[in-house]
Amino acid sequence: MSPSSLLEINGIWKHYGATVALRDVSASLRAGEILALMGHNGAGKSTLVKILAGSTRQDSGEIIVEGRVLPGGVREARAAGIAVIYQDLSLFPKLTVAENIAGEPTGRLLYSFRASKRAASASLERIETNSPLVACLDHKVEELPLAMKQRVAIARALTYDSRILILDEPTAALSMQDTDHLLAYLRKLASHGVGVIFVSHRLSDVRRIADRYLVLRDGAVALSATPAKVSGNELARAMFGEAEEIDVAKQECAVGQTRKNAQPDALTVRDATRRREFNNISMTLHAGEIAVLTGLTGSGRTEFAESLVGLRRFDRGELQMSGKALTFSGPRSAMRQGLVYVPEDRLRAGLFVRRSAAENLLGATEHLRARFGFLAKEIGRASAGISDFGIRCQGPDSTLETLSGGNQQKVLLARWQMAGARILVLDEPTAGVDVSAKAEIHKRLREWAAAGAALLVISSETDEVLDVADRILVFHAGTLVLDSPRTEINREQLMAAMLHGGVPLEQAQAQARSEA
Amino acid sequence: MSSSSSASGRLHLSFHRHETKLASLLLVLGIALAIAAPRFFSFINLALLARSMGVLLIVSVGMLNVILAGGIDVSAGSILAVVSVVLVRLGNHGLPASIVLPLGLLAGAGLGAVNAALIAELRIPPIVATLGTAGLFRGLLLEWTQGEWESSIPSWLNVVGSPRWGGLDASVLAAALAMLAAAWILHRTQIGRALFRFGDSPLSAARTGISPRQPVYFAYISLGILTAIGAVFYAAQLGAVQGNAANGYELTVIAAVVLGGADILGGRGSLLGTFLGVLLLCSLQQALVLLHVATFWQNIATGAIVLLGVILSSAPRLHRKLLLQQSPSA
Repeated sequence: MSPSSLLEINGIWKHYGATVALRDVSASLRAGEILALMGHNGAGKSTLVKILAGSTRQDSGEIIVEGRVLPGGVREARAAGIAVIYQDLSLFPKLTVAENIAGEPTGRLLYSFRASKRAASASLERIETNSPLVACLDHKVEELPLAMKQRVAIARALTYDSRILILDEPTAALSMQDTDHLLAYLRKLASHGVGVIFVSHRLSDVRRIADRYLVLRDGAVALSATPAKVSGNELARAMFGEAEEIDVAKQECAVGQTRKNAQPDALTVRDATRRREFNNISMTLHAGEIAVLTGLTGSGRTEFAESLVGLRRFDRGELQMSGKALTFSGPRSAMRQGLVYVPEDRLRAGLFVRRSAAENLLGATEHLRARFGFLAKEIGRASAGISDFGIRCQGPDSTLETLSGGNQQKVLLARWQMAGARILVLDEPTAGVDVSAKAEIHKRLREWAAAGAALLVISSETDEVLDVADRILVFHAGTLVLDSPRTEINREQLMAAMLHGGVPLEQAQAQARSEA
Repeated sequence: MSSSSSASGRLHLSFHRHETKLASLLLVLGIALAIAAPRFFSFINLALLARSMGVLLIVSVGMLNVILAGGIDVSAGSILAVVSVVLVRLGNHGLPASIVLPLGLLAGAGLGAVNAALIAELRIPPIVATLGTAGLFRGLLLEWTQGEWESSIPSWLNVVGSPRWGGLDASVLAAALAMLAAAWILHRTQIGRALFRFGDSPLSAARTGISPRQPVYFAYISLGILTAIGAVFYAAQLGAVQGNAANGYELTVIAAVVLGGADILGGRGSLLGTFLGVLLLCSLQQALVLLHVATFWQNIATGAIVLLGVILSSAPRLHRKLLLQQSPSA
């Protein structure tokens, strides 16, 4: 089509057995353009990404990169300048940063550590001045925090003159600060002529960065337009069709309802301190409410939450449940008191993905029930749990790895509800699940709170904080800078608290100047 | 954390932390021996120690390749037996060394390729595939030999095995060459690096365009060839072979590599570590023989040292991993 077109996707079809994953998808990407690829889970985004990456072959249709037809194969796609950054980053954790960035197979026989280190630091310098990664070229990737790992993945993608960069849910696991950084960085890359395809569920990020939207629904292109011409409603309709638009809108109205029946204190913390992590935190969690704890990465919020359930200890301070002072030696002793921690990494630290839904729902808490149920009865209870929670799966016997991310998370929540948890600490409960599952999880949490449970949700997503919370708690640099009902907080106040502890920005800057 | 990552992956003398720990373990053993059995450090005994290490080291280098690639091979002992019987039988039939030796290497490479094919093409988990071939290779060998001993070896093989150079024999030289060749391949060639990458994360490897077959074939065939080379010296040193030769040998080999700090899940391990692992195992064996300790105590001591070595290496890492699992954002 246009002469500056970097990538042309022409009439791609892909079938998996009887299901059609992609139907006649066509699109294009210009140099310097950021294209947001959106769609519901199962809309065909990841199939399209896999075809572009060369790891899956289309049934018909062709992909043209800078005028040349792309043959199948991962190496061929790389050679054509296409680089994909997968959601799991696909790094080599036990190898060094330098080797991850610049050690890709080149087709030559020999390999040189020195050359790959040189190439890695050159590539980092091209990407940003004073990259913190230059100092850790010899570190193993497993030692780096997530945001740094992501930079490694990006640097790797750009080492070999990639002209087309595809990022799959790059902000799903990032804090707000790191997200800002990434978006600014992508913008810079685009200004150097790189074409970017940004695959995301997060509308807020997409709105900030996209030059154009490409929405897939049921494998077909539902919308392809510039942001200026598309309203939020149109975008939602393109993604979900007519019916679900209302669902998304309904999300708003439930806020604050559960607050009315707030009950006595469920959990009280006094002057909790852990050296170099958080200081003098005092807070109360009430039965019947959802408190959302937020803050930037490194603000101490995760460390604090983990201390509540005994994964870490307070250096100083006191924890009370229903007026009694307690200390937990670990998750097990916390669970005995009805206090449960739902970790962010549910696949590794929450669920048993190779075991059945029934086992995950009931077997996992068997030791807490301290009695022996007959198997038939247990399966019956599991089935009840599955239908109560609206978990979509083949039945209680289906293994967890066959479920979608949202349904896996529902299994985890259902497990603890059935085990009778009264106080829950949930770390990023909706990370990596699709929009409709997210709305459903939020609804469940509200119902749970309405039934008298006390929920502390950790979230770094501003939209989620404002949507779900009855009360908002903000950590900044290890202190609790904000603790107030949702109704008294607006978005600006929340952002200010997260970014600089709530002091208005001008004041903070003036303070910094006077100190300097 | 910072101290644990020197320029990792390289052989140089910059000791990785696990290697340092192994070296200290060796030092402790050395001091104990200097007191309990000073004879251990006599020239003759040290030469004996070196000779006893040769075969184990050669096969262990091959096993390191396999373990780095995320695999395991429990058929190595069977391959060793097959090749040594092939060598001796053909030699005793009067075939010259110039034909027998290449045939032996070919047999080793072929058996390794069988393992690789089962794993790479049929996607059978390595432990299952090689458990199967271990029985298969051994059974076919016993059928072929009918359980009879080859109680003499051809004269050229006798020459290979006889000590010279002040008590050392050709196995020591071969082991040194195997180490050098492996060092070059593992650290200076693309296929060597691909082995680390594939073992660390097969998915990431596929996504960066590394073939899912090549590293597997390379690892198991190189182990097959190195095992065949080991078989030459094994037969030469023993002077007689039979179908039940080297039964369970693979376990000693795996123990040495794991003791040397290789991650049994792949992607991490070093030649220096493997060398130290072999040295530690063989020194211990030798010392216990010198001290006239009963055989079953030798087994106990060997088992204990393997566990000790692995605990030393993985305990802090394991602990940290558990903590990190709780807080992936930390």
